[in-house]
Amino acid sequence: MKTILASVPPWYPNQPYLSIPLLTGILRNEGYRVYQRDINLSFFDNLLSEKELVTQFSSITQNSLSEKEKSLYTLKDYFINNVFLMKSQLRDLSFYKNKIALKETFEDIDLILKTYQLNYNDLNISLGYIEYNFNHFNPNTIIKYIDDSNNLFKYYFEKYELDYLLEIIPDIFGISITIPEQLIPALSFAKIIKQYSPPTKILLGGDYISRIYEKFVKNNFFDELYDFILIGETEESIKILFKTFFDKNNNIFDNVPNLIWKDKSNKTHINNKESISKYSNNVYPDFDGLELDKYFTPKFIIPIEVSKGCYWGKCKFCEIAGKQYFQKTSNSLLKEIKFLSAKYNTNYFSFVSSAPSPKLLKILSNLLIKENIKIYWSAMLRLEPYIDNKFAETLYNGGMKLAMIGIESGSQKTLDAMNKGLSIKNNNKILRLLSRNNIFTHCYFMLNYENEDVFEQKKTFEFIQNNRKYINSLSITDYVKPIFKENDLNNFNIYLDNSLPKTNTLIQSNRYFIEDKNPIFHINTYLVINA
Amino acid sequence: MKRTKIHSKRNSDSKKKQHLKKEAKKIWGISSTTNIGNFFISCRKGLLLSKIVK
Repeated sequence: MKTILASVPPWYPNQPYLSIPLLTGILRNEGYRVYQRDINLSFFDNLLSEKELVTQFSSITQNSLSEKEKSLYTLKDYFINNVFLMKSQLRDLSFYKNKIALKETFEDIDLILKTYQLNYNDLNISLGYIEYNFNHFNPNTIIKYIDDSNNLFKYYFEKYELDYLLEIIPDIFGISITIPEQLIPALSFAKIIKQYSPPTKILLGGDYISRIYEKFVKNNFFDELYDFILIGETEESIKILFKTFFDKNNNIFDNVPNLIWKDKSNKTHINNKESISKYSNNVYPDFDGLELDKYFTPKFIIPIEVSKGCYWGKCKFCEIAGKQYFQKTSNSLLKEIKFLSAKYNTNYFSFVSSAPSPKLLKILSNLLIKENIKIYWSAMLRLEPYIDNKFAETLYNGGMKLAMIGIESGSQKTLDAMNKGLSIKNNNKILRLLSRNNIFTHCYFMLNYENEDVFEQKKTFEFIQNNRKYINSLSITDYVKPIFKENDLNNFNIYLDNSLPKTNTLIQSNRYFIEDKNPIFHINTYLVINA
Repeated sequence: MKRTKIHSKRNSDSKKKQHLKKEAKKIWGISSTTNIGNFFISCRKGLLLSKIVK
């Protein structure tokens, strides 16, 4: 009765992705033996190791390199000799005081990761991110890469993870697939698991797989690479699955909600979907077994869930709109924070929920202040009109150091079209209040919503410009509506149709940042602002 | 005299390396101000972190 639960690259390796420790906690609480692996962390840690770089460079013939590639090869010794130091710097709190050096280290690490392009030219790897030089939404190109002998993930898994797999030989190997870029690594690993440990059942779960599973099943994609898919929220259904699988030794799984499974004749079944009806907070995430000191951060920041869904739930662009909102009570959160803080000896938390109620955050802050618990935390914050100076002060005193805010637009017309339910005037006011109370603000903006015209887009840049003093950092996303092409299998895309021409040539790139009040704008932003 | 020479050579090596690194970053599109892919998010996360953990 052994299980491995794993997260896979790419994800930024500064903390565990919550779903694995959460499910680990739930299953261990039920008495199952669960091993958890953050393969994403080990992937970046090993790729950024002296040993692996020596291996990579040793297989390169210098004469065959282009001028571009040679520019990396000439830095071979520098990379090999300094990579350990660079990783250490990212884990050293004192190093974070020197921003120029910090920035250079991030850049150097990124440059080192480009080395892998010399041997694996289908991939472009950065810290926490992988770009594919092919359409990674297309099942044909996905399977082609998985079967390719020059598949980096195959190489990686066989070299670094296979011994662990063969030592445990789990009954179930669960893989979380949260973003599209994780699908190829996950399926590459699944293929190797099937090859070396045929009895092991592959369980897939996570946000991305929950969106695309119907395409999988309908078209029999990657059919031999999974046994189970759990979709949506899995805290309850995974317990029923494990009970059926381990305790009853049953081959019939029609009692497990949200499960896709195959019977003895290999026929695929899609069980009924069930939304969660209650929000139980009896079990905490369990990080035991993860290498917490290896994350690329000077302090271990514990991710915890505060709520599910969005209490507003009406934004037209949002995928969680309309789903039921649940939140933990402030007292249960306090208990969880105290427990995890003591167990893992850290005061840093990130509340990873999409839209916790500001009122809940305020009540929690008051509890933390009352009990004199010094923790520091970040959370998403919707700028509700009831947030006043006292409110912001309470959040800060309760430990809120970073507010992540979906401003979306500087145009009231666009906000109204989105059904955001907030006004520009209100957003201006509350940003100032947060800034005044020393809460660091990271703001999200979205351009091109439903083909928003350039005039309205300019208002967003004006908003940013006007609030430069109060916005510490920001990211701007180009809104792309998901479109499915059902009938064209050659051009079939599982999820997003990223081949759509961009209607707005102003937006060549999608992210811009302001840093410490000194704007680091992309040149296009200047063009827009000064137009 | 000897010490000065070594220091001077190290300095020159370091400058040369810095130049090569700068060139490579330019060629591979890595720069804080122009690379606006996820690298910069990573960078930002590091910097955001520096705000939280001080």
